[in-house]
Amino acid sequence: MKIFWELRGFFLRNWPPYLAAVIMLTLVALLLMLPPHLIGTLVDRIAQQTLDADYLMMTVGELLGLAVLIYIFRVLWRIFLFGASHKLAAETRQDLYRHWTTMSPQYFRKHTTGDLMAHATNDVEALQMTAGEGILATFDGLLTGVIVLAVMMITLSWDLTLVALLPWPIMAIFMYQFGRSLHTGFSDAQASFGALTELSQEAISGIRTIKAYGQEEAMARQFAETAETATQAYMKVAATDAKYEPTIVLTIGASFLSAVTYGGWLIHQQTLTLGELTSFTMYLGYLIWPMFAFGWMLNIAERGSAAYDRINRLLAEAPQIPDTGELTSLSDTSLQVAIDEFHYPDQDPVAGDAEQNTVSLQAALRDIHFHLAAGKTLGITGPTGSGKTTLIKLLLRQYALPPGSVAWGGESVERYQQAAFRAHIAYVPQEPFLFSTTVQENLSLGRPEASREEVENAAGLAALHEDIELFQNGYETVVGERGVTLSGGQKQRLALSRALLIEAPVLILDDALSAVDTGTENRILQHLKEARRDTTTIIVSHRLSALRHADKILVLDQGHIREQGNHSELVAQAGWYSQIYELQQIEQDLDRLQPQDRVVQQE
Amino acid sequence: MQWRVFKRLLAASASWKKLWMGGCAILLLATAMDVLGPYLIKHFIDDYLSHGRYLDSGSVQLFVFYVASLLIGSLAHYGAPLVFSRIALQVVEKLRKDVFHSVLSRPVSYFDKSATGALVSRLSNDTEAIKELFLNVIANFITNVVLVTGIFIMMAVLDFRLMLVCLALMPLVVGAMVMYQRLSTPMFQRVRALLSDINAQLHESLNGMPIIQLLNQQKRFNERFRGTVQEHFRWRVKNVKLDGLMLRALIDMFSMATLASIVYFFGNQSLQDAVEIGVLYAFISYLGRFVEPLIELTQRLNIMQQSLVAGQRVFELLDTEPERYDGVGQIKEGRITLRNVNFSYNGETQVLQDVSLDIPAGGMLGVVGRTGSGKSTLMQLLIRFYPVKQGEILIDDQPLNAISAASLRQDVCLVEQEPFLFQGSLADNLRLDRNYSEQEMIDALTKAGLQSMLQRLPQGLATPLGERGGRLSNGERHLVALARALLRKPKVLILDEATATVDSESEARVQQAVNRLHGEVTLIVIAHRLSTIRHADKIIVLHHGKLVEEGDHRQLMALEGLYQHLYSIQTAHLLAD
Repeated sequence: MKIFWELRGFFLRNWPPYLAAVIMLTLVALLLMLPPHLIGTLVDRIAQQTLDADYLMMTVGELLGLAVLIYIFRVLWRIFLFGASHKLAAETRQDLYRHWTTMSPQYFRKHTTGDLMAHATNDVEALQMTAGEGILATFDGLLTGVIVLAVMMITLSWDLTLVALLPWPIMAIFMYQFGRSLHTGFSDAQASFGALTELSQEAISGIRTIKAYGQEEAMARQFAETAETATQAYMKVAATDAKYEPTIVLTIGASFLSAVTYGGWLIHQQTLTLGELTSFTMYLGYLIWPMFAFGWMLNIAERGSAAYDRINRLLAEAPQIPDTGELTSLSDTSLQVAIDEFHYPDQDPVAGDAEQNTVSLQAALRDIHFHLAAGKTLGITGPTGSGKTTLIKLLLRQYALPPGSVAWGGESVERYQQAAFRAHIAYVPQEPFLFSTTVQENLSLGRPEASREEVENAAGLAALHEDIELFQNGYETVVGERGVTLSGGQKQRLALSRALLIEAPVLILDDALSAVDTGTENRILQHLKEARRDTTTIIVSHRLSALRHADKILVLDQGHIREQGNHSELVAQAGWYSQIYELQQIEQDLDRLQPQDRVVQQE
Repeated sequence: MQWRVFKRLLAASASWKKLWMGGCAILLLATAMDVLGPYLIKHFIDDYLSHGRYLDSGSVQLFVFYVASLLIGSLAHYGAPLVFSRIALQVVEKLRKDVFHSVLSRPVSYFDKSATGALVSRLSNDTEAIKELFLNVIANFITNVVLVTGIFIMMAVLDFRLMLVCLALMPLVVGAMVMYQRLSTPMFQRVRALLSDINAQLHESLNGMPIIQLLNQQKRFNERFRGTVQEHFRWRVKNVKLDGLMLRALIDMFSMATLASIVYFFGNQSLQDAVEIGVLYAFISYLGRFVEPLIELTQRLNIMQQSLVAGQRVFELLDTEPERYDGVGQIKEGRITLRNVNFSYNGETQVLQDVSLDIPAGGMLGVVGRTGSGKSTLMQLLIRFYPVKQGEILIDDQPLNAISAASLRQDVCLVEQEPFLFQGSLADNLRLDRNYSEQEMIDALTKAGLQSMLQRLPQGLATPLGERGGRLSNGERHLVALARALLRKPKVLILDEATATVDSESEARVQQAVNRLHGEVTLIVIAHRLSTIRHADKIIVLHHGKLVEEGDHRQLMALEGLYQHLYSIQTAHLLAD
């Protein structure tokens, strides 16, 4: 019930439709009291043989008029009430979405997409039910119940009313119990359905192992068992569910029986007329809905309340990176980094992975100090898990750091307005994310107003233009989930073109060309060098050939800088860098090797 | 087309004909009892009350009849839905088993092309939708049609002319239903499409949030989302309006208009002759029970469409031919011969070209090559995951296709790079569908070098491994898969060595296990660390799908070819680490 109080803000803001709905509902409830009365009177006239044609026509006319009037009011309250409740759903969806656009990556590590989606669908639906059906059940149920009872007791017979309602409390108790066992039965049934889904998932993911070990039959047996369990669980629900109907039939039947038996006695005693008994049983029929409404309302309100709490908790979460800076532009694009130590915040240990636990206790980065002058190029390399991407994330201010740790243009990152800051940096992530729309729209994501020429230009720089021309619909080709799937290299180049199009003074490539072959990569890097001479560039790569021309190269290892210098300095140092460089040279030679050059067989 | 699906679904439930008939019989009984009540009260009113009689043997009899009809009716009302639920659930259970069977008997190549999520959805959500069809559409339809018919019959018994008046209501209701269907279906689809659009946008935005933020596009995406939500809201309100105009309110109005007509005809009649008031009473009662079934019928039709679409998808899956191998050959020794094997997944790119080789029973073959050289493909062909169209693979001189599935799965075991472990205990994963003693399992684990892990596990063999063996490290998972293979005492063991993720300790254990098995079974080891296969009887080097070098370690090193190259890279890497 408290949910209706909690939603008062929404009700007050939308008072006109709610007020209108309540008025209409009241009118319907009141008007509905008339037909039984009209018919009762008519029945009495027939019984006493005092009916004449005029009175009959009048009654019929009144009934028809009422039918139309009640129809109109019923249509209206539905539109007002349910219309308003869907508005609540729409508002809540928008609020959630807006909220999520302010949250940082850290938040999305904590909440899975599936969880968030569930809030935006199930919880919003529950809330909408509360604001629509919930209000209807509470208000209309109560109102109709009270009015009908009052009319029955006052205008007809209070003792008949009591007698006729005698079986109802018994039914209420039964219904309450059924409701509870239905609830547990339902969770069991849902769990069994979940098990079924899970098993299907496992069987399909593990299909190779199943086939390799000839486990098809065994798996099918296991599935059959699960399917049978599900059937049993659902059968149990059906068994409880099937009790409702007979209980209702019995109660209402008993109620009518008492009404007619006792009413008959009253008629026999001549304290009640046949017409009044007819009206009475019609009223009795009207009471069925309010009784259901009450149980229904409790259920809806409970669900709505839980959903509202969850949604509120979500909306109350403040962004981890507050947007409180004032500076709106970078004076220049020089970069100063002074990170003593960085841990990922509130990292939940990944289930069952003991290694992960110990790793997260270690700092992800420590002692990272360096300076990069505006317009220069920085290369970053190192083994997997050495902290390269973490460092990039910090440069982009995706995680909070003590003031002064990362400074662009001489000012610490948190002093900038988020949007202004981001506008200065074009970033290409390791895993390109494409939206399921056209190439054109994906490419111009950051600058939807860009001309076709600019778009093609950016694609040209990323050596993607020719590829796109070959697509069936060129720039209008739909990519992503539903459309043509691009190759890994094409996706990466598309992400790069997207970043180049916004023409930001800083360009960060986080291993962004890993799926592009070396030749194309070199071509792209050459393009960038020519076209974007003044851009401050940061390139993370495993392929050292990509870093050859960097002004400064950092070699990271386990979160700290292991080696630094430019390419020739690092090669001369004979450390990790030089060894890997040598290996990569050999591997490149191998790649160029064609089998026909060297088919050697020897027994 | 949808009609065909519907008929086929009904046919699927034909095996439960007896239940169907029983259910309908009980339903008829329940309905008969339902419509009897007002009839009895009518008698009480007309034969007793109107004549000033109240309590005598006749009225007591009516009372007893009424109570009996109530009791029998409620029992029947309990039974009928139970029977219908049983039919629905059993039809779906059978469909589920059939679909599952059909999915598992697809060739491996089928799973390369199909999304896991879609297949899972066929098995779970789509079959669930079919259940809804049986439970909420068909059973409901039968129940309501029977009830409405029963009411009409009783009305006819009471007063044929007044029944005709009520029957005049039917064309109106049916007309309204048809019109509602016609108007609401496109609206309904539109609302559903918009809702799935909302969800798709949400899903995509949540996944792509970092990029949206980095490109400062939050405002634009907010606007776009708002647009879709608003559009959905607008259509939803349209839907609400249509529902409001057409459904309950309209049928209630029809019913009240019918009431007025009954009153009119009945009143008119009373002006001419004597009438029985009980008839009016009974008609009013019947009319009150009429509305609910009609409204339900209208609303349930929407579910039907979704269920039929689901049914169609399920049938498509059921109708595809399964992969079958009927060979009866047995593997006795484990000698493997490849003759000029060519293979391509898509018919364009050749993944293997003209590969021929011979492994004697008990021999050990090492396979070396860079990523994409065709090593894994070769292995998948050996376990018949893909059919060989050009060239031949023979085991013990019998073509692979002539070997029985049972023998192939028992005698040729594969340990994949990233093996799949099932949810369940360690023992479940080792045993799979066979019975092995605890000692046998412990022996296999020991051979795979896992005795220390076994001691560490809290419940030993009974320890649950979590989803996909999530409680174990990568290296341990690989070794468990090795133990699983060893337990089966295969004639041929194919080992795809785990790559980077394995720690040096597990690596050493795999190495030891391989050394121990050398000579006992035919061993094919795809090695990423060349040290594992140094002692192999023969090593082949694959390059771009061709067999380019062949010989033992010493011969290949002397060749100073690809093998020697790869070997030197690795030794250099070890230095670097």
